[in-house]
This record gives sequence, C-alpha cells and structure tokens, in this order.
Amino acid sequence: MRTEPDYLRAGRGIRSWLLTRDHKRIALMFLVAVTLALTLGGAFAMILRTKLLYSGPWLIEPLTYNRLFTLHGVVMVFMFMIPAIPAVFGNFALPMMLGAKDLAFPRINLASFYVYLAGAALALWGMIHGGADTGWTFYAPYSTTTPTDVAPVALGVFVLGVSSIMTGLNFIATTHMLRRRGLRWHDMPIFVWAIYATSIIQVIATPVLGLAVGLVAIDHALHMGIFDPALGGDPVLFEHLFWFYSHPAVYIMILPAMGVIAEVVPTFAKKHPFSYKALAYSSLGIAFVGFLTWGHHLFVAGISQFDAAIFGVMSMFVAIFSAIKVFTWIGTLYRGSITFNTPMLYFFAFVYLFAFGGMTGIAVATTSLDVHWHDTYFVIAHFHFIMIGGTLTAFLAALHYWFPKMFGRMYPERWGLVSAALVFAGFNLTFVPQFLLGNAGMPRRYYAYPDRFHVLNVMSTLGAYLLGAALILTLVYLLASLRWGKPAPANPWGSRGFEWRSPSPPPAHNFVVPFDPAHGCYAYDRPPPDEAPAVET
Amino acid sequence: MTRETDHEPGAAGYVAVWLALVVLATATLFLSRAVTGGWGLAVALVIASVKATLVAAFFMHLAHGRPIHRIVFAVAIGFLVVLVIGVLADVGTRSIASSYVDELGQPAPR
Amino acid sequence: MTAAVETAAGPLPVQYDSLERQHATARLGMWVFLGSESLLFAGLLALYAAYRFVYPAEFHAASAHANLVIGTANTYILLTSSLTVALAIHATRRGHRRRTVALLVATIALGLAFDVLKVIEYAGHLREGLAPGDYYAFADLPARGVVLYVTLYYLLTGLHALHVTGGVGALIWLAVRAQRGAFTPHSHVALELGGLYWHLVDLVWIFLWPLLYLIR
Repeated sequence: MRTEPDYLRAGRGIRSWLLTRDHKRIALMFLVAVTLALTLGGAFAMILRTKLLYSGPWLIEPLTYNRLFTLHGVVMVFMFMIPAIPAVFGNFALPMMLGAKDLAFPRINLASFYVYLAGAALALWGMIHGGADTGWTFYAPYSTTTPTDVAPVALGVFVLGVSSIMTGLNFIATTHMLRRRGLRWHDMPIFVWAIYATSIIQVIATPVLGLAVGLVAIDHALHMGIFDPALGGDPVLFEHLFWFYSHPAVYIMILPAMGVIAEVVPTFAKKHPFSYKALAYSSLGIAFVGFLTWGHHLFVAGISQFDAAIFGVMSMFVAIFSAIKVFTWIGTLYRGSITFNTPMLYFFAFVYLFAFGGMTGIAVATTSLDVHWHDTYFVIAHFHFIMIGGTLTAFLAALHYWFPKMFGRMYPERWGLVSAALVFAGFNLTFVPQFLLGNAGMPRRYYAYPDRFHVLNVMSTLGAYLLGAALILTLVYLLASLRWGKPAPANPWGSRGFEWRSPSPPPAHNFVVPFDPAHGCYAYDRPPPDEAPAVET
Repeated sequence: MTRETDHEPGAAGYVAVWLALVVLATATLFLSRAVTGGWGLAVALVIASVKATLVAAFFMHLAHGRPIHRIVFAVAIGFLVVLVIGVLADVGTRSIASSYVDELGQPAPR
Repeated sequence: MTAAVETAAGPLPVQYDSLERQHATARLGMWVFLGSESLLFAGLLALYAAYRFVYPAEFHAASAHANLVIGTANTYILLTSSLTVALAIHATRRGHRRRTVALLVATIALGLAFDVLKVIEYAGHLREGLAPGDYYAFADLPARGVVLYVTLYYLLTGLHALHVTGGVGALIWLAVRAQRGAFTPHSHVALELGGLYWHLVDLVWIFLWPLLYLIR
C-alpha cells in the first residue's frame, strides 16, 4: 500500500508533464525525443546503405547523398548519442542513487529539454530548407563557402550544445551537494561517477564546439574569413577547435554507457565490482586524458609531425583506462552467479564490440597507419563499433534494466533475448565488412565506388536492414509492455542498488522512506534490503 | 553567515584591492612602451594574471571560500591552457617539424 | 512524505533541507557556469595565439590602429565596476538597502558606459575601413594577416560586449529586486551570483586589453 500515487500518475493532464520539475518525467520526455532522433538518424542511414547497394548512380542524387550523411551524423551525434544516456537514465536514476528528491536545479533541467527541442527544430529546419552537405564535421573552407544551408544546422548544433551544458552543470551540482546524509563519495554507485565525469566533459568541452560551429555559421553568412587562406587564415585551426570538443565528446558518449555496465554486471552476477576504485577513478581518468588527444583527427590535415607525435602518444594513454574497466568487469563476473537475461546479453555484446572497436582505435591512433586508413571506411567501422557496439548496446541494456523501475512493468524476456541476438548479428554483418572495405581503400562519404567493393557493400547493407529490424522489434515489444507487461515488483533483479529501494514506479519524490546507505550499493554478500516499505507514517 | 562571509574583505579591503588593480593596470600601460616584442607580451600577461588572481581571490572570494570553487576554476583555466598550447604546438612547429608545410600550411621550400 | 522546509522566504524546494545548502548549491552551480563560459573565450584565444605567432608584424601594425584611449578607459571602468558590485553585496550584508541599490546603479552605469564607448570605438574603426573579413577596406595596410587581427578583435570584444550587456541586464533586474527589499543580510544569493558573473566579465577584459591594445 502507499499513500501517494507514483510519479506517472501524480498530476494529470498535458500541462503537468510539459511544466513538470520531476526529473523522472523529464527523463521520459527525453526518452521519447532521443528515440525519435535515433529513428530519424537510422532512417537516413537506411537510405544511404540502400544507395550503396549499387556502385553507380541510382536512387538519389549525389548532393542528396551528401546531405543525408551530414544529417545522419548531426542527428545521431547531437540528438541521440550525446544526450541519450545522461538525459534519460542520468536524469531518472542519478537523484535516486544519491537519495535525493530531485536534481539541484529542476527548472534548469526542464529548460534543458526545451533547449534541446529548440536546437533540434533549428537543425531539422535547416535540413529541410536546404540541408548542409559538409559532413557533421563542418570543415572549413568548404563549410564557409558551400551554397547549402549551413547556418541553421550549425546554429542548431550550438543550441543543442547549450542543452548539454545545462545537463552537465545540474549533475555536477547535484552530486556535490545533494547526497543524502551518510552517503560519501566512495559510497556512490559507479554510474554516478560515470555521469559526473561525463558532466565535467560536457561543461568544459561544449563551449569550444559552440564557438567553432558559431564561427562557421557567421563565416558562412557574413564572410568573416577567419579560416580563409586568401586572407591569411588557416582552415586547420577550425579542425583544432572542432575536435577539441568532438574527441572528448566521444567520451561523453561512452562514459555513461560504461556507467550502465557497472550497474548491470554486479546485479546480474550477484557480485560486488572487482574493484570499486578502479571503475570510479578510471572514469575521471578518461574524462581528463581524453582532452589531450584531439589531434589524432588531424594527422593528415597538415599539422606538424611534432604535434602529431604527441597526440598519437596521448591517444594511447587514454586506452589504459578503458582497459582497466574491461578487465574489472570481467573480474566482477569471476565467481559470480550469472543470470543470462537481456541486459546481461547486451553486456556481453558491449564488452566484445567495445574491446574490438577500442583496439581498432589504438590502430588508427598510430600515426603511420592512420595515413592509410584516414577518411576510409575503416574509421567509420571503428567509431560505429564504439557508438553502436558500445553506447547503443549499453543504452538498450539500461532501457531493459530500468524498465521495471521506470514503468512498473516487466518486458517479455524471450523477446528481449531474441532482439539482443538480432541486434548483435545485424551489427556485425553491417560493420565488419566496412573494416575490410576501408582497409582495401574505399573512401568514406563517397557516392560511388569501384565495382570490386560491391559484395562487401551488399553485405553491409543487408546487415543494416537486419539491425534496423531488430531495433524496431525492440521498440514494438517495449511499447507493448507499457500496456500489457506484467506488473513489476520494486526490485525484480534483486539488485543492491539504492534506486531499487523504492516502489516501481517510484512516487514523485522518489522514496517512501529514506534508505540506509550503510553497506553500500553492491553488498551481494548480504541479503537484499527489505522490499519498498508499505504505509509511511 | 557562510564560511565565506566570515573572512571576506571589508569595504576597506575591497578598495585596497581596487587600488592595486588600478596601479597594476597603469604599470602595464607604461611597461608596454618600455618592453617590446616577446618579452613585452610575457610581462603583460604576467601582470594580467596577477590582476586576475586579485579579482578572483578577493572580489570573487576564491581565497576564503569553499575549496571546490577553486578546483572548478582551476580545471577550467587548465583546459583553456591545454587548448592554446595544443594549437601553438602545431602552428609553432610546422616549419621545424614538418617536411611538407610551413606555418601557414603552404608547401614548404625544400 | 515530509513537508518542504519552511523559511522566511517561503518553502524550500523539496530536494533541499536547509536554505544554506540551497545557497551553497547555487554558488557551486554559478562557478561551474563561469568555468564553462571561460572555455567559450578559449577558442578565440587559441586562434589569436596561432595567428599572432604566424603574423607578428601584421598584428603589431594593425593594433597600432586600435583605440588605446577607449580601450584603457574601458579597463579602468570595468575594474571600478567590480569594486562597486563587491561593495553593493557588502552593503547588503550590513543591511544597507539604499546603499546597495546606489552601488548597483553605479555598476550598471559603468557597464553601460563600457558599451557606449565600445559602440563609439567600433563606429570609428568602421569609418576607417577597419572591418572584419571580406569587408576589410583599410587603405594603409594590406589585408593578409592584418585582417585576421581585425576580425579577431571584433570577435573577442564583441563576444565580451555581449556578456557585458547581458550582465547589465541581470544587474538591472537585481537592482529592482534590491529596491523592493528582496535581499536580507542572510539571504541574498541572487546578488552574489550576479556579482560573480560580473567579475568574470572583468576578468576576461583584463586579458583582452593587453592582448589587443598593447602589442608593441
């Protein structure tokens, strides 16, 4: 029994959602938005892959092709990958994991959602109006001289960046100031450390992106010429500014994913993490060292070999922290009692694909090798292994893991397992051929290709269809579960995590009775804490 | 009262800081005529850093406020320096460390 | 469900258990924001560093045409405005409402003076043809390299002036609230946050002035 309704039912009507300050409702609104973004970006990818079934012209014009890969990148990176795990699961779970009743600044949280929508609308309008064809990287001088509509897309990215900064600022303040009494930094769930490290990157790096795309927008509209060689400018400087953000940005994408994994693995191995400090500190290590590596995107752009060498070495260092995490997760499994359900299956997919993708990252960080692979499908395959194989699988793991808590329903486990397997199969069929294509010399962002690459391209496209179908299947059974899923208990997984010490779904202010943080959130050697208490006094 | 207000400068203290800032600004002006070139830039930046430290420490209470404020500010400035150094390490060494291009990315004379 | 904590200023937001904690959180949030805003200028400073390194003579020649009088006046104006806003907060802590408002008004006036001088300065430059990018039309110096200084000058001081103007707007709002008695000696965190933001604006100019006006 409970005396107050859960957060989904507290307050009726559209206004109670659109003007909510509840971090859990804002999380759901972000979930809808990023799912739409993923679908849109995915649709662009399907069109691109369909075109690539044939080596010559068909289906779409070259200019349309260029616009589509630009918008695929912009939508996927800025409207899905960057916000997805932080703005959905960070928003939902972080306050609960700290025993707080909401974030530090709930109104800024709500504002961040509307700023996200405004940025998305601006970028999408630019897309329809004349669609940039520069690639999501907006390199000068093409981005400042192309006749396509760069400014609204670039400004949309700027506004989306503002939303990201607001989110990061909120999480930093909350983590420092709203931990419940008795919850020290080293009692916090690893997911909080991961989100905290991500937030540092968001507030520090995003302004530089804002400046870079802002300069492109101004330059495109007003011919300021700051990167124009005719006036003495240097286009490579744009790349420095752009990648100073965009490399740490990939850590914005992967750190929250690693945080999810750090919650899923102990729960379904029924074991505490092999080393709490390794997981916590490696998150900070990735955040800081990740800022020192951006030049590896500029290896063949014309920077000095001295600078390239430094960035190459630093890029190797950052991998150390990822390796620490992978070994710690594996070590957590050792002597655990493993349940093979959907989140765990996504973990296995994650660890394999992330390790593989990460190692190809070491490969392209080797300057002499990157000369061969730069701007080929090898790089595309590398980052899709991390982004889909890493972030998206962790996003799906998180979605299934916290689904009962968020919606009070269980999803059908068998459908989950089948979809996870299909996602894994579809992903590999799509992107392993792309490593081979890139190594054989097929350039990226090319409309046409030599006939000898035909078979691998067809394989990749079929894989993309399979991956797309698997994701649609996932969406369908999850939506169906909202209505017809079995009612979920407070703690269906027997997790020791703090967020599970509340009803499913939680009440508006998260906990009926404050939880006791003694023994921490990974105490699998002890019995689970009591089910969410009944009537509060 | 907060920890900060227990130790903050009084009105006289603020005026003293302001006087120091005015003196330093005036010194920068005169030194800029006396010391030119690379050294001039270094002198100007050193004095500017001193002024910035005074503003941050006393007007913004970093000196007697919570440590986390100092850490936040130091981290931000640290990454600002990383960006500038990373860019200068490229542009500054192109003519030395690149066989192919000079500072401006133009094909280098061989 | 425990009720929200009641304070003299009304109930606290439910996630806070004391006014002091809420205020401390607000201050931390503002410092994170200031750190973030510093990085916005970092990109322009990196461009400045790169281009000045490559074009030392052009930067020197171009900056000779900067308006040193206005630039220096603006430096003293901003330094003084930092003093007045710090004294305003100090006055609030002592409970002097009228003095607070007067000092805030002084800060606003100094900020507006900065903006007005900037407009005069820009107008003067544009008349001479010292315009950014493709619009550069200054007869005395060839464009290459020089125009990069000019464009960076407008970008840096323009971005800074935007921040000054935003700060002036915030200070006006704070002055109105102060006049209405919204701030007490123990509760005036909005004023503190406004002051912190204003000091950052001063900090940025402390570096822009020697970099743009004092190249010798």
